[in-house]
Amino acid sequence: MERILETSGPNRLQKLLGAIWPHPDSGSFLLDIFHVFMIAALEQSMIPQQSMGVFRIDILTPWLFVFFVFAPLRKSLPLAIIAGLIQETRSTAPAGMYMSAYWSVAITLHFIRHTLSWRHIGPWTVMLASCMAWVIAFETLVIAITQDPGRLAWRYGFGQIFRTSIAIGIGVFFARTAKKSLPPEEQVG
Amino acid sequence: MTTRQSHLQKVALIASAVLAPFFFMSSTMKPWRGDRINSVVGQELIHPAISSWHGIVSYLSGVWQSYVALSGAAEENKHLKDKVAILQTKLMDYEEQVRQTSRLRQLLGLSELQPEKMLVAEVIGTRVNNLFKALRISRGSLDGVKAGMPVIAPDGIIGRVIRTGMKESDVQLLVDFDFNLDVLLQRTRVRGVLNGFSNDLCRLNLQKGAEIRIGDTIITSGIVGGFPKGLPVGRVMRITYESDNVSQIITVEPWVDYRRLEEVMVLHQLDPELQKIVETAGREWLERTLKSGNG
Repeated sequence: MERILETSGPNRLQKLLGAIWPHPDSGSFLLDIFHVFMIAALEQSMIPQQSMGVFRIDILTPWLFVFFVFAPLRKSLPLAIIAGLIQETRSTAPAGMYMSAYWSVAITLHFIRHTLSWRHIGPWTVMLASCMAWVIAFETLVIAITQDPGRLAWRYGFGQIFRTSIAIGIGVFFARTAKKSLPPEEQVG
Repeated sequence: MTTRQSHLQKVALIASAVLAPFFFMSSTMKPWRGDRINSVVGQELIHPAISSWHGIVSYLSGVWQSYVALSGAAEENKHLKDKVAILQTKLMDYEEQVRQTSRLRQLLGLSELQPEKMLVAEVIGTRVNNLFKALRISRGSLDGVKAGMPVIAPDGIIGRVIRTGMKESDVQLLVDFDFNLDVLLQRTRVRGVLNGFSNDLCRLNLQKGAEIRIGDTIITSGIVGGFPKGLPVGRVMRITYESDNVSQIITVEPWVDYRRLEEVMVLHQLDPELQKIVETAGREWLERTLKSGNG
């Protein structure tokens, strides 16, 4: 009976969805890369149509931050480069901008991740807000250097606040779903 | 691993985290080119997912528009029939004018924009955020698309191919800040260089004495950049004067709405100025320049 249940259609679908769902550090690096491509494809094909003009909804960056918290550095750094390449080859952003920003975040989170706790949501929010602030500050600096600082009007600032708020929400959601997938003994602390 | 090794590793990691932004800042800060390995990682691998998604969204949107969202269709139909009648009359007049222009251009020895030199492409993804503006089209190097080729729509200029994959290309939009285009004011024939600016607008700096009005049409000059002369670019939206009392800043709204684009045309026409330089300096020079990132 159990065997029938395991191989039944809904169960298989559940398993498939479980594998496809982007858990940070899924155990297989190839699956992690697949998740990055999947999130990037989703962000780059669906989200721009619903992002209300200047406002940008960024789902790849918060997912990466949560990934950096969970994954060892040998996985975080290559993934930071791959994600940076995806971001850069889809836009006219200068080569290396996102890569260097993600690289710094990956290493920083590697050293401070022991301070994050499942008991409180506060540190996660602060971590996500700080990392987003770093990426946005870096983008802003590059715009100020390479382009016209006059572009950085109040609308730009408002758009970035919106982007950060959404990213924090998405990041906390990813972290929460990642917690549920952990064994019970690891969910404490 | 010894404590010393571990300590050294930690120092190296922290140093790389700190130095990475400085390393980037010391670079030329140019976008990636299409002939590098990143093109394979960033474009070719993600292409199937994006094109499938685009197909699904287009199909669903088509079903919704064709079978569900039909309120007001009868009224719109009547309105369109009236409009078609007016346009047919105008079309006859335009056809006559086109024939006349064609004759005059032949007399003057000017080249024409030939349809066989165009390639129609579908827009398969957009990246119109507040920072770097580009869109992705469904034609690539296998279709003969090359970096630098102009991209247009029936409404006007869209941009220029910045990077090519095998079956897709990225187009730098007219409103991207790094985009420059030589233009003319249609009414007064004043020439200037148009730059992309924020919020999907462009900017043109002219001398204060240049005669210009709100609503004037901007067209391509055809001198540099590979765009044929006379293509519509946008209309003058705002005129402001610089504090130096010498120049005026013209804010231009492009004719093309980038968010609603579905099909575009790639012109198989490279910058004639660049072609002349290549003829003189040789193709090796161009390849060396592109590889060194100065292109």
